[in-house]
Amino acid sequence: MTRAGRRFRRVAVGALALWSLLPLIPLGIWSVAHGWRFPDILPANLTGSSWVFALSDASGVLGSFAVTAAIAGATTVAALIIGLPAARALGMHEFRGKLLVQTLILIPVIVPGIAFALGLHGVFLTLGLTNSVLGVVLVHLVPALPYMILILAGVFAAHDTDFEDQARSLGASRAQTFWHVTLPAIMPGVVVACLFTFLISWSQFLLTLMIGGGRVVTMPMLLFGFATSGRNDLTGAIALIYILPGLVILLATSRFLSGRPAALAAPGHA
Amino acid sequence: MTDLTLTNLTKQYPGAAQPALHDLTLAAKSGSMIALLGPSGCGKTTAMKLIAGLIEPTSGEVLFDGRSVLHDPPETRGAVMVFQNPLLFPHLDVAANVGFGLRMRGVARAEIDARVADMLAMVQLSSLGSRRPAALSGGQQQRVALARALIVRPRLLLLDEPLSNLDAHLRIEMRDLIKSLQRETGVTTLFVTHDQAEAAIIADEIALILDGRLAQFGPAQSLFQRPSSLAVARFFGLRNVVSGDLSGGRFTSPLGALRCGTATGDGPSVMALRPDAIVIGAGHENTLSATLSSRVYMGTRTQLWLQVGAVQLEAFVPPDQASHLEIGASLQIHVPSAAIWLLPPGEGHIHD
Repeated sequence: MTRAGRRFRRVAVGALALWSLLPLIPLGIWSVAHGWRFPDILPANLTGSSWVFALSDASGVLGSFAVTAAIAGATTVAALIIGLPAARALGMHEFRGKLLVQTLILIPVIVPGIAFALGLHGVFLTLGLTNSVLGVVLVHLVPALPYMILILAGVFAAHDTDFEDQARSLGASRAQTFWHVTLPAIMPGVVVACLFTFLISWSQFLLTLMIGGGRVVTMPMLLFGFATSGRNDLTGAIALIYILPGLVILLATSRFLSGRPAALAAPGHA
Repeated sequence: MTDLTLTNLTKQYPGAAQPALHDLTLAAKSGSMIALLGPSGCGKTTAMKLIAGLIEPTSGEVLFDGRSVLHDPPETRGAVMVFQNPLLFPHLDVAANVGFGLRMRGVARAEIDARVADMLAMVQLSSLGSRRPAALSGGQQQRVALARALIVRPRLLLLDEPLSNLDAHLRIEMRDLIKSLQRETGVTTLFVTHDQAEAAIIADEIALILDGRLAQFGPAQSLFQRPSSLAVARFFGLRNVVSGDLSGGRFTSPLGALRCGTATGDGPSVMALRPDAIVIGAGHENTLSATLSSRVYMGTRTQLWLQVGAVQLEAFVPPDQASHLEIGASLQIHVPSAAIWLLPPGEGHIHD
């Protein structure tokens, strides 16, 4: 890369970081402000009381955090179990109607959530799934599955099945081949797909509200409650707690996010 | 030590006009090395995958020691493939790659370690056990792939163009290694290649496959010198093909009447004449007058194009015999009757 190219990259990365971090600054300030009114640039007095409250049992933040994480985790696991075979079929095989199937899989991304949630609410009501964590997990699968399947399909499309033939002929059973050969090869892609799925579930508001009926209180719902009640200090603290898992996951898995999915999915071609 | 028998093995992929492999019948004796020779896309790899159990035949049988293995999954068949691409598992180091098959069989750790060490020594890679595959050269990777296949003591070793990704000098080294390991272990081996010289050097017998069908099976010499059809002769680069008529041991063609050593049935025939069978100078039989139209020095031999009447013949002669010949010069050549090989007309097989 040329020097100008390197400089451009540094500037671009810096701009992108600013763009994503700037909105967090007022949130951070709010969370420790004791009154912060126009035209003060910074609040006159600082306090940790909103953090103390947010982390106390009374606020319900920690409980809600656990529920949200459980729902997002369950959604991710379910999406992986459903999505892996589907993605394998889409990525590795040609069959009649493949385009139709791909389009159908994308529909939940295109159709507004409120449209299908209204319909699903009726169905879930008769099945007794409303107001339950299970119902919320199921409805989160609707927007999450397309991402899981399409990311993994790309991973499988770049996967060289000769490695599996090689393993079978060396004496590995189907299950052993998947565990010892396929899985290590597709792992980076699986991690990325799971990360996306987790965060999609983590950020659902409308679907949780409609199916959970206010009984299943996830972080976005809690946050919305405080934001609309005008408690900017609490909203700031809870919002920062809310974005924490996304940052942690992103940092922990950043080595998989190199922007070279094909190279990661089909290693071994020296 | 396993006898391999293929009976009418056919593979038709859905939607394909032609079967990828058509009616292949072949017997490989235990401990032998058979080359499956043919141009790319002729069905050689399909045959390998059918034997390994990676794909299922449309019809036909695969027998190991006389027993059908079609219902055995690949992992229990004991026919191990080595591909053109070494396909080393990138997340495992060299030793773990070599030990893979034993680990899948649940062999004890200590035994795996000992056998991996032996195997790495056999392929001269003892010091590289802890390397990652990506840190090896192409030749080293292919040797690891070979070690990984041999360590499970396969009943059959299936080598699918294992040399074609290697540089010229590595090819020879690897070819000799394969040959010596095969002799040492006595494993029945099928060796796929599109290189006729490679097939002739490495294999006891060659199965030539053209368009998904077995064109000829036998020792290399018989394919080179006694091709069973024009297609086989052409595959081996034979360009001297002259149509004529055989009658009473004499072949009459635009070249005149030639005496033949191996006369079969009388009637219309095609003569296949190897370029190295043509001798410069008059002989006691089959002497022809020719005009030299081209001469190309090729190092160990010289290629001549000779005009005999209306027929162009290609000849390979020792360079010292051709150095004095001028383009356009008239000369006499002769063809020993034993070198004349006659085929039925058309593309049909001699035994059809």
